[in-house]
Amino acid sequence: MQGHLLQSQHMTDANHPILSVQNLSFFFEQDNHILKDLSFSIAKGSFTLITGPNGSGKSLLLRCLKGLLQPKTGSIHILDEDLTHKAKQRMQAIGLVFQDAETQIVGQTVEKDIRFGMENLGLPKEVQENRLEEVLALLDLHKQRNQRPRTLSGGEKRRLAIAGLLVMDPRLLVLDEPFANLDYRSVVSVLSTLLRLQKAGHTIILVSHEVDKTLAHADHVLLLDDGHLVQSGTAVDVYPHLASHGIYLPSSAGIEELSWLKR
Amino acid sequence: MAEALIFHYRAQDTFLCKANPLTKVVAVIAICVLILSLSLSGLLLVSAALLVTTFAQHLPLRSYKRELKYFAFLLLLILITEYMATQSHQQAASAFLRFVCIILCGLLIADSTSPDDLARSLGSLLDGIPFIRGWEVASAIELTLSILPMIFDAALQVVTARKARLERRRNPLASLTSLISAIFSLLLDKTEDLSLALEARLFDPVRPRQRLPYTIADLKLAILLLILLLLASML
Repeated sequence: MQGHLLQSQHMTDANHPILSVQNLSFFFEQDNHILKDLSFSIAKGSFTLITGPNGSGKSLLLRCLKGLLQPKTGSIHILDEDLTHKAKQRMQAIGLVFQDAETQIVGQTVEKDIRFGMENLGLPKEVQENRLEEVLALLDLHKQRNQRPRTLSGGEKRRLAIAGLLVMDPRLLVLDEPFANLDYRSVVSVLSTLLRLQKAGHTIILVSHEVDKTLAHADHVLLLDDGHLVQSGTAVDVYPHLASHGIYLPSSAGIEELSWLKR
Repeated sequence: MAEALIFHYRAQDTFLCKANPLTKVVAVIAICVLILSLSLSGLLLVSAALLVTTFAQHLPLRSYKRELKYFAFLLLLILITEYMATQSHQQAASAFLRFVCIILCGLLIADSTSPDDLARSLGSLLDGIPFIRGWEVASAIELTLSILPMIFDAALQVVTARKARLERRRNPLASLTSLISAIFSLLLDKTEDLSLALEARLFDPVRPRQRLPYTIADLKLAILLLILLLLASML
């Protein structure tokens, strides 16, 4: 099992969509749709940035994808399999790091938290040990192994949340505002971890309105506003539309400069 | 963020942390039952042994200072009321020491046992009993234990936030009602987050879990407890 997590196990044709969403809508009240007829697909191994102003429906979209909320209309396919009405399978296929990563840490120590998901999957002990050691090394959490998660820094908590999901071997890793409340060093640490995972073949979907930190790395950008998908394409395609939808862009910055790894 | 330390598990390399949770639960029950019939010198011996264990367990008593105020107040009440009722120094001191022993036992077991490990041990034990859904009961106990420190955290968070905003003391009843409703609402949010987190990571309360083995630490704990209780009953 050596190298299991570093290399994604869900190898398919790189151009083949790993996630395909068609006409997805969601509402809490019939006459007030929050997500409106969204259709898009995500390529295997890509780094996708979903952006949009506050209240545009980004976090809600992730909850629908993950299976924590059921879309009212539309379909969700993962690797050509229709999982629209199979919330439990979507839960397993998509690893979601919550906006407040601390709320999803349930273990009493770093090690126990990482084991939690693997035990729920009923993985054999030997597989658990291998994945645990590997993810601790991969996300640089060895020293914190026996620490209480509440004593970790913001960046370490984000990395722990990612580790807890990674060991469950999801097909997609989805992060909701992973840089919120993090200092420069923690942003760099989380961002470089994500890029390392993408390089290893993992598909990453990142939701953030802070495009100045990541846009340079995005293969695909989706721009949401008021529940609509207003733009979809490469960073170059979407870049000119960001400011008009309330997304902050540093003045005179080119796309290649929009990364905190290059500061 | 405001954070309470008391009744939280801390992973450490001590023999108490290594012992099986069931052994610790049995030890706590044995101590709590036996202290009811011990003499004052027996109680002094048990309290001293528990105090030594708190040092061996590196219990952060200094950090607990603020959180232990409530128990200190209760201890004082017990001491005064017992003395007034019996007019005996010895009886009052015995009641005081019994309560000290119970608090120390609670602190030690909470500090050295994670709710998850306790659920594993209890689940594996209860699952063998007919007509009892052992793993489900154990999961319910585990979740309850996880929520206990959350209540302390929520209370501390609300009180700190109100202090920071220079809350003026009003009618005590109105103050208490608004404080309790704020704590309750925060707790509801926290439990909803916990429920989403468990669901997102495929938590199943009925699923049997890996059992925890008994080790040399359990034997040590059992022998030490037996010696202590024998000595205390002889005094």
